[in-house]
Amino acid sequence: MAVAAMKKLTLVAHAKDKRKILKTLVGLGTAEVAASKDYDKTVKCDDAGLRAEFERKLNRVSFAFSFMKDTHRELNKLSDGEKAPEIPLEKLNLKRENKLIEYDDMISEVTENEHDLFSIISDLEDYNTRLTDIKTETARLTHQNEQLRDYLDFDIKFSSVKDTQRVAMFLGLIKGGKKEILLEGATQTAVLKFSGSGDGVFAMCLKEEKEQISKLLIAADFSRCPFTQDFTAKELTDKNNQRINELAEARLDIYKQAASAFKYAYELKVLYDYYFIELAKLDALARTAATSKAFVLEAWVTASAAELTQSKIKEAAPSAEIFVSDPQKGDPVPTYIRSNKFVSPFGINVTAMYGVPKYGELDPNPFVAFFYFLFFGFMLGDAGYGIILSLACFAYLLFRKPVKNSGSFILMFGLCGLSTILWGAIFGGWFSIESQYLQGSAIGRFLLNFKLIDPLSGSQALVMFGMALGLGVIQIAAGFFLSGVTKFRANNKLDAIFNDFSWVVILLGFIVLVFDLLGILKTSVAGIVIALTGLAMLIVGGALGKKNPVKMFIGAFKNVYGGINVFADILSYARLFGLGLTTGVIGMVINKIGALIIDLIPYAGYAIAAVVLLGGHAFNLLINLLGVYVHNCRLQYVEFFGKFYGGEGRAFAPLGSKTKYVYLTDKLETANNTKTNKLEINNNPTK
Amino acid sequence: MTLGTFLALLGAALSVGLAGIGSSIGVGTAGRAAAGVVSEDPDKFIKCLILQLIPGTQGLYGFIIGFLALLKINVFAGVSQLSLAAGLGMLAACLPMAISGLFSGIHQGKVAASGIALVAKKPEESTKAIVMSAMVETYALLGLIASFLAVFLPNYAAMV
Repeated sequence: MAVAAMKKLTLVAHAKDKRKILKTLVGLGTAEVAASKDYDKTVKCDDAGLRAEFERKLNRVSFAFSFMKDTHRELNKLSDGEKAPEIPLEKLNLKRENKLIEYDDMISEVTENEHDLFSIISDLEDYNTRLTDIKTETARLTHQNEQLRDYLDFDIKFSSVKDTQRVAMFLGLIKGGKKEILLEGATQTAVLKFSGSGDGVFAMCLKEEKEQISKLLIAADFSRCPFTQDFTAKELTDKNNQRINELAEARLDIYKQAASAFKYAYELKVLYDYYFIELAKLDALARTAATSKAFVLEAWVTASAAELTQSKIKEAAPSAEIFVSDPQKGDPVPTYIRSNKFVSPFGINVTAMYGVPKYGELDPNPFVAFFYFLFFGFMLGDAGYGIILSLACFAYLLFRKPVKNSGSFILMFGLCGLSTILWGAIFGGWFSIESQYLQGSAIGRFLLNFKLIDPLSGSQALVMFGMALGLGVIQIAAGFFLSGVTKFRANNKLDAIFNDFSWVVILLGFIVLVFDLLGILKTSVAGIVIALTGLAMLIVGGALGKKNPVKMFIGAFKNVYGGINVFADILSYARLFGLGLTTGVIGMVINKIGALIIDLIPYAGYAIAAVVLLGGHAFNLLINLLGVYVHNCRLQYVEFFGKFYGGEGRAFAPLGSKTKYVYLTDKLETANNTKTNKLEINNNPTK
Repeated sequence: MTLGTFLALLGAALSVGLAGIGSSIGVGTAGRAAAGVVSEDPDKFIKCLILQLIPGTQGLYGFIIGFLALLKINVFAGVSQLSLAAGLGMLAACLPMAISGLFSGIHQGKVAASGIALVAKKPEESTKAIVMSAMVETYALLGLIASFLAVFLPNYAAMV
């Protein structure tokens, strides 16, 4: 349970072994490739050609995912429509797979399938081009139909609108409302026909009058019809519509064909991650110094996995020279935290969100886990909700069996549910049912046995308030204590004792004092004495290391004045009380509404009340889960970490640990286990 | 009904009403930002929704104080006849929640809206956006606690 010790692994090998060694490292998942030193006559080269090829392949696979997603959506839409053709909708799963695979299996799977998969992708790309064509053509035809609409009333083929020996003909559009110009000015013999909308006009006149009619038409903003086909407007529209229908069918067919790629979704995901790792390998190579014949690779490995990593590389490339060394001061060593099952979910979801510790820094996770667990239940404070939360989370973990750390968030909430049950029982919160009703049943009376405090009965609310602040005092004292320990380890012993441990003493004094006032302890003045001792230490701490008496005084004053911040921090823990109250009171309101409905509406009231109670409590649980999660994080980040923790480390990210769709196995922990086993075996004979 | 009871009811009304206004403005501000982000990327809906929800708690806190005040006035079983002093006291007790809820809701909404912009660019950092907007809520919580203690502890019905 701590920040794991790291070793630096430096290896020199033949250039031809490059890929073999990287493959071994990905398979092990124990090493993070670091930028190697700049040795004489070496270069760090980035293979731009290969990189571009991998990126292009990744883009193609991504395209396949997004095209399949579109296809799925379109088919869904089409099968919902009225003309629902029977489409057997295949399932499409583009989420991350809950699957752990070996890197060797991934490679063999990809080498086996790659060719087929890319031909499927090129099919999809083909479909996409055809769909674009269909879309363009449909749009063109629809647009043409709109233009044709003005001519639908003229039963004449476009091709026959042309001048004969004696007659001139016009077909086109005029500006709306200019119809009158034509009607008034037209000659006796001219024939004028208007479409229903009044925009389309057909005019026929003797050739002698052509000029006169032309002038009139120009005055009416006439524009000549662009169509010349051997069809009437109606025929052409029907033809277009028929083609549009054909295109729609073709579109559906394409989507149906594309849906056959759905069953390769998993293989495509593996392919994606394979190239994702290939890119990561290139990134690693770009960091290694190389000559044309050899290269130097530097990597961070956990101390426990160093031996295994070394031997596996030797297996893959016997000519490689490997040196394992301890990190030097100032090296950018990544942090790998090894925690037990209880602590690690809190470490991943609470501490890591803030920042992981620097290498060699104190691991705050055990403390965070303890306090987060403790506060969570206090804030949610209803045992009924706790039971539901724990059951739901543990059931999910049991049935889904998330691989690697993907279930840690759920696990954290499951654990916090246990804390909620504990505190809920103490506060007597069972779905906010009031105690007089609980008294009515045997189970209720049993549950009430655990009740120590009733937050909603007069002065006991103050007890809960006091407890919230008390928990705050404990966490803040722990924060100062850890700060002191950190300083102690950095050899600032006096600073630690007078500036940090002094606060622990003061807070301890306060606790004793409060217990004395409550009559739990009979200590008379011990509390005050302890607190004053702490205060004296604090004053000394402010003056420490300063020679000028004025500066000493200012330092001491600053230290004591800083007490205001500490008390503000303690008051911040009042939120524990506030949030605890929220859950209880809203739950109570929901129950009251339920009871009211049962009273008001006979018989049917029970059904309605059940819906209200279920919905209401679900809402209350969810909204308070969010609130509790957020405020609990805040207490850790601001009030607790503010005292001692920087979180400026960099998380250990071994080669092959970053994937998008599947998880790769790693030997980080197995190496650890075999190592300890070996040690035990070695130790046995000596015993 | 006495004037005192009326004033106490007014306190409950202000607590529910003003804190509700604060929350609705806050949730509204955040919601507009969220809709913009979701229109670009529907997958961010849940993250945006959580951030939009955060300024909604003030309304709940206000409701809690209002409800407790109603319990104290005993509206569910024969309304208590409070004296003028008791009514004024209850009104004053409701004010911390009403005022802090109104303003912190509005400002938390603004922080949440900016947080949603953060999620649009860096979805993996959404926890930080949530924690930032939770900072504003502290003051609504302090208002809640102050009002709770002031409404809940004194025996207003016995006050002359």
